[in-house]
Amino acid sequence: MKCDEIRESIAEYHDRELDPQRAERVREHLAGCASCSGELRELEGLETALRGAPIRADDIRWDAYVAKVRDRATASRRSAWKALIPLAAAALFLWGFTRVFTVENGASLVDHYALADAEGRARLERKAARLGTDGVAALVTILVADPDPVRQRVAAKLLGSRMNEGPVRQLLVERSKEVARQDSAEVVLVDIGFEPGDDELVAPAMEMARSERLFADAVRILKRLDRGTLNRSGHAEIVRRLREMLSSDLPREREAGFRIARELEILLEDVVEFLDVPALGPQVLDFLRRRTGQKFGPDKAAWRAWFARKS
Amino acid sequence: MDAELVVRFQKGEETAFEDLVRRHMRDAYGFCLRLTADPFRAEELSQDGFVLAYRHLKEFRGESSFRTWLYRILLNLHRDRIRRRAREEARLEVLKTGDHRPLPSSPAAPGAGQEAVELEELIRRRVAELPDRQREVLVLHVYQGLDYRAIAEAVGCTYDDVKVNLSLARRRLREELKERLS
Repeated sequence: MKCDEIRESIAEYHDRELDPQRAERVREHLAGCASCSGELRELEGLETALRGAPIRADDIRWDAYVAKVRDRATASRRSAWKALIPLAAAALFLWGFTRVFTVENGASLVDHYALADAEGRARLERKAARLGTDGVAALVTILVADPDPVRQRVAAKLLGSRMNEGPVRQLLVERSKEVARQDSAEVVLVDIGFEPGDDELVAPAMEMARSERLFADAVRILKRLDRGTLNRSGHAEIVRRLREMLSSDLPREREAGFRIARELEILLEDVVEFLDVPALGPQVLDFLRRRTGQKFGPDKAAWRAWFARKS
Repeated sequence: MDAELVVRFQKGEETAFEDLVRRHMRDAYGFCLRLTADPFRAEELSQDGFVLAYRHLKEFRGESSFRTWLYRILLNLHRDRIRRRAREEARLEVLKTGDHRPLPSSPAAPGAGQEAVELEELIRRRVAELPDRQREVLVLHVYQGLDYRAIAEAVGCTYDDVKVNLSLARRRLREELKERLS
C-alpha cells in the first residue's frame, strides 16, 4: 500500500475501526515507513494529551442528584396523566365528543420529539404543521399547563408559526387565562423554563397584553423578552408586532399597541398618527414628550419632522 | 448489565431505573459538561435526559445500547437549548475574549508543573471551541469511548460523517496545540 492510502486509514487504524485484513496491511506498512509511523505517533500524542485533560465530577452530591431524577421522573409519569385531563376537557369543550380521541396526537408528537433524530424531528414538525384543531389544542395545553418544562419547550417548538393563526391565538389566550386563575401568568409563561430570548413567547405575551386583567403580567414578560435577549431578537419581534397592532384597522388593537409600547418605553414614530385621536391623543403626546424631551404640541407634522431628523 | 436492568424496568421493577441512573450519571454529567462548559447547565441537562429516558424506557427496544440511546437524548436536548438561546455564539465570544469560566478540572497530578496545568486548561478550551458536530463526535470518542458506529447512532449521522468530523477536529486541535505538544 502507498503512503497516501495509509495516511487515509491511520486514524481508523488507531481507533480500531479497520477490519483485520486491512489493519494488518497498515501495520506492515507502518513497520517499514518512518513517515507514516511518525503520523501515527503524532495522533497518539494528541490523544494522550486530550485524555490527560479530564474534568471533575466529584463536587456533585450524587445521592441528591439521583433523588432529584427519581422525583422528577415519577412526577412526570403522574403529570402525563394529569395533562390528559385538561387536554380532554379542552377538546370536549371546544370541538365535541367526536374528535376527542385524536387529541393525543399532539401530546404524542411532543413525547416523540425529544427522542427523534434530525430527520424524525423534521417529520414531526411537518406533522405538527398539519395537525387539526384538537391536536393543536393538545399542544397549546401542554405549552401553558404542563408541569414539565421540557414538554412545554417542545410544544412551543412544534406550535411554531402556528401561534399566529387566529384560532390558535384564541385558544392560547383562553388556556393562559384558565391557568392564570390559579397562578400568575408570569409563572405560566416565564418560569416554565423559557429563557429570555425565546421569540415564541412574544406572541402569547402580546396576546395576554390585550387582556386588561393579564396586562401587568404580560408587560413584565415582554420587558424581559425586550431587554434580556442576547441578540435583541426579542426586541425586534416585539417591535414588528407592535407596528402591526399600531397600523391595525381596529381602534382597540391600536390602543392596545400604544399601551404596550408605552409600558415598554418603545418609541415608535407610528404613534404620532394617534395624536388627534380623542381618547388617545393626550396620552400619546405625554408619552412622546417624556420619551423625547421635546415640547411640541399635538402637531403631527412637527413630530414627524423630529423623527425624520432623528433617523 | 444495562440490558438486564432495562428489561427489569420494562417488567415493572421501578428500582431498576435508579440503578441505571447510578451506573451512568457520572458519565452523562461529564458528557454534558463537555457540551455545555457549565456545571449547572450540565447537571440540569443530564437530569432532564434521565427523566426523558425514564418516560420512554418502556418503548426502548434495545436496537442500540442504553448508553448510546442516552447520549442521543442528551444531544437532542442540548441542541434544542443551543438553538433556542444562540448560546453557542455567546459562549465562544466569551472564550475568545478570555473572560470564561474554566471547566472544573481534576486536581493536577502530584508534581505536575504549572505548565502541565496550563496545557490541560488550554486543551479544554480548544475542545470547547470546536464546531458543534466536531466537538460532539470528538467528545463521544475520546472521553466517552464510543466507536464510530455508536457515535453515528448517538449523533444521528452517518458513519462517514463521524470519520470526517473526527478527522477535522483532530486536525484542528493538532494545529492549535502544535507548539505545546511538540
